[in-house]
Amino acid sequence: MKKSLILIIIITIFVLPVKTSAAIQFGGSIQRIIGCVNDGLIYTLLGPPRGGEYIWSPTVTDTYAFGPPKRTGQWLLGNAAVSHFCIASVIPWDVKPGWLMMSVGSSQ
Amino acid sequence: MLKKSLYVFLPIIIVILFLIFISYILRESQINKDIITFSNSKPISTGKITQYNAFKSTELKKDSKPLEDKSLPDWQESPNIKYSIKTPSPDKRDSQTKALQGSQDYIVENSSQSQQAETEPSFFTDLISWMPTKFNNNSAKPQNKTDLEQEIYDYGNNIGKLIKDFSNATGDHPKLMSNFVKDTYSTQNIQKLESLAEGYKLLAKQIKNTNAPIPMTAVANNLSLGYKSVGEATLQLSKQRTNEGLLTEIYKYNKTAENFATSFIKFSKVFRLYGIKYNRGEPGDIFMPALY
Repeated sequence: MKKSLILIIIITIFVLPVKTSAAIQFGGSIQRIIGCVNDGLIYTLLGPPRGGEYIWSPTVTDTYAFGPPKRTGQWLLGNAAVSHFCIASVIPWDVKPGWLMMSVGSSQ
Repeated sequence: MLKKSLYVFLPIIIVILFLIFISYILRESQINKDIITFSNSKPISTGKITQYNAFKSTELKKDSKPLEDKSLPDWQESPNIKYSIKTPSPDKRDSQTKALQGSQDYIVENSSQSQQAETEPSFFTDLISWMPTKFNNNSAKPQNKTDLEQEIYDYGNNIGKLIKDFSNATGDHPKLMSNFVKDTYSTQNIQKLESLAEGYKLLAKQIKNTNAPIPMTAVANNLSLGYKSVGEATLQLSKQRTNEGLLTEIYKYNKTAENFATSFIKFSKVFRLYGIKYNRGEPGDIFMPALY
């Protein structure tokens, strides 16, 4: 029984797709989206497969079809390399850090 | 005993693995299908959203009208930017397609959608489109590379490895920042931010100390300076305790990060100019678009 369990674990490890842990390439559907009060930034919280907090910038992000993040449920895919700050509100104090999108493509 | 248990478990394992495989394919193909034009398009200029697509061109323009009425409750419209999407006329689309076809880019030919635009859709192309990019990726290393191309290729891998190692070692930066913003007096939060700042500076040094090929010297120097500046801005941020001070430093930090991002994008674009491509999983793949 133990041997078969070990066999199952080994097979599973070798067959499961490997994902890199670096948070440089991201992709997932938008679960939350907020327009920031600073510099026209847009904060997005992405779900799996490679989710996290990402910020779109009108001046920096290389934006491909279909434009900047617009709504929840929309899919995003892109690269990020440095963290950024979205000021959602000054009073009450609400600052949301996230990765600054270097390039992004979105679904319709 | 082992044989018996294998007879029992083997079909279960096969079914589970099959389901995992199917879900993986669906997950990958969902991204590929939804953002298919990403691999087949290029922005006209950094940060300016004007027009994209080679085969189904869309154009975004600044517009005073609000977005569609489909906006959801949790969507807060950005105060400064509003866009509308319109499809240009066929003549304009053709001219855009020709212009894009002539441009030098690292777009690869494995997008099934782009193939469908030129040829009749077939079972084979449909099948290809369902395969994850890992399996249908044609973007192998450029064949017959010149010495310079090989040098640039190796350099990209070296720098990519440094950045990835840094990213893996320092973890989730936004999480560190978020914790600090919530509690600026926590010694642990301050220390973590300080060590992140030191990490940035160290990375800047490592990039500077790596010999860059001649065409990349300037962009590599800018990238190194960019990381150094981000490190200094992060350190300044960690010294703030009040919301007022933090707000001022956040604006400065964001400006620095955006300058850095511009340097990073310029650095990445040199690889395109020389036709350098990295397969997914290679350290240099961080300089390629996510879907290629």
